[in-house]
Amino acid sequence: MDSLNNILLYTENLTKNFQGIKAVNDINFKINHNEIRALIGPNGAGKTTFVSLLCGRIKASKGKVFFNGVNISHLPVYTRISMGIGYTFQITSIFFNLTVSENVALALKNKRQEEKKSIVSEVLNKVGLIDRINQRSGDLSYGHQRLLELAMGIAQRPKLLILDEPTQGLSDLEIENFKKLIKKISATVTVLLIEHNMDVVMSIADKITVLHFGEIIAEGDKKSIQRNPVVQKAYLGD
Amino acid sequence: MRKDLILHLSALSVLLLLELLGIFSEYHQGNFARILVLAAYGVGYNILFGYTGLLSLGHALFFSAGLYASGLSIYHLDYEIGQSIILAIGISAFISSLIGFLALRTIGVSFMIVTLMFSQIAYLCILYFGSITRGDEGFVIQQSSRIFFSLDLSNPTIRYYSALLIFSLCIFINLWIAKSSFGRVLVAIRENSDRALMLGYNVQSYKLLSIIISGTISGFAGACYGILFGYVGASFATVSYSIFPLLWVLIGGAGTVLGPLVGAIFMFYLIDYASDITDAYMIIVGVSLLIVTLFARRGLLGELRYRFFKWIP
Ligand SMILES: Nc1ncnc2c1ncn2[C@@H]1O[C@H](COP(=O)(O)OP(=O)(O)OP(=O)(O)O)[C@@H](O)[C@H]1O
Ligand SMILES: [Mg+2]
Repeated sequence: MDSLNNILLYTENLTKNFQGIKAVNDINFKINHNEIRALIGPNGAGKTTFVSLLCGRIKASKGKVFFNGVNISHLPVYTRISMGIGYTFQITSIFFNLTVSENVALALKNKRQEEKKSIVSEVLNKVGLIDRINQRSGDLSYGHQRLLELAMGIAQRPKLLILDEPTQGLSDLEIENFKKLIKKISATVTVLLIEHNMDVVMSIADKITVLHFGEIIAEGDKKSIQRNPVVQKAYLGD
Repeated sequence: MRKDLILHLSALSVLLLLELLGIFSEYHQGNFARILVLAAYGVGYNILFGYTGLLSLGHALFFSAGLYASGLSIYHLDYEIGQSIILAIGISAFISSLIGFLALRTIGVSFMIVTLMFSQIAYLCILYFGSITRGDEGFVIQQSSRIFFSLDLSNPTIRYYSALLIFSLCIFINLWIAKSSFGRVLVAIRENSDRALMLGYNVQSYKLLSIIISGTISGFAGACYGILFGYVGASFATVSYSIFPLLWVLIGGAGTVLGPLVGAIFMFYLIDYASDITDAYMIIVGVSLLIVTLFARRGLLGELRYRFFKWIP
């Protein structure tokens, strides 16, 4: 299973220090093609910091990141993105003064105008925002803004899509749609999902990685994680 | 035809008709020629500030780079008008790349201060090398040098048409940028540069290109200003000339193509009339600016766009 050409991304001793705090500590992590991986852990565990290191939003203090076999540790963000890493923010980060369709269109680099149009409506259909297409995105409800953030990530058609707490603020119905959508795109996209909602994690993740104090304390399928006493202690002790 | 194109062509036609129908008095004709060239400078400023969201306090450097490049080359080297403008464009493009490269290492307030410092250095250089630049006093470009393809640019009517042409050229460049995907990325950077970066745009190089375009248009306007009005002086390199385009753009509407023109007309005539009434005219100017910013936070044209005409570029 873990044969080298099955791995999409892996890290070697990835570390990030913030003034003495080891937010990410010596992490060796692997994710396979077309996997849906959940990354969980208590608040402040280092999840956002870890994925920010993967996409280059922040610089690592130590360690390496390999993507598709290439060492991308020293590549700038835009190169990593163009290699196929997509990222959605934990704190909604969209272009509030632009319309929904303009937001998604911006996610489509180097595409012709007509092509952009059709991808925009296709993606907005998928996430259920098509009837908001011409609305100013700042006027959307919080949940819809989360969906727009997701739409932008999907529109990029990345090989690895990193989602930082995408279901925060969504209604139950929207969460159901979200689960279906992720299942569907995982045929072609690898998903790394940071998620606090255990129902979402349990119903769509293939494998779960648990982070605590910047370190991986457990990794495995759902059952083994649920039963793992170390994980239970980390969450209860929080 | 597209709505936005019609709007801008109509605005230019009005400016043309004012002249053709002889509606202008000589006084207003002269004012408007000045305003049009200064508005072209404002258009350059607006590319960086209005569209890309970078506030520079040093654009006088680019304006005077163009002004002095063309002025000095005519004054000392007997350049033709066309040659001197090409030289000015080249030099302002070079200087804005250099300043952009250095200043873009900073953001926000530091960016404002760094650009301000650079333009102060340029101002001091102009004073220091007084033997070449004629320092504070400046120099006059003789009427005999201000001939372009046998057109006498010191003739008020020809000067007005030239100014209108220069301004038109700049707003069509602006319009084209605003509509291009390049321009959309600039706006995205203005709105949320972190997001733009995470969508895979090389934000730094977009910003750099924006400074170069902005600085080059400003330099071009500076060169034209010197040639059309026949005077080159250090006052154009002072902080005031960095603040003016900021004010025009803020009053007219940041990120609108015609905003700098609206703002420049407003400011010019406001100062003109206020100074007729009292010596303390800056009080009137200040209060008026306060009122505009209170009631039209996005600038006059910006507010119109926000409330009624969303399509205005
Ligand atoms: N820019 C920063 N400067 C200093 N410390 C930081 C910075 N970013 C994160 N940290 C610290 O690093 C640790 C990990 O933070 P991180 O945001 O990665 O956690 P998280 O697992 O995403 O938490 P949450 O579930 O709340 O989103 C925390 O202790 C946090 O305070
Ligand atoms: Mg987080």
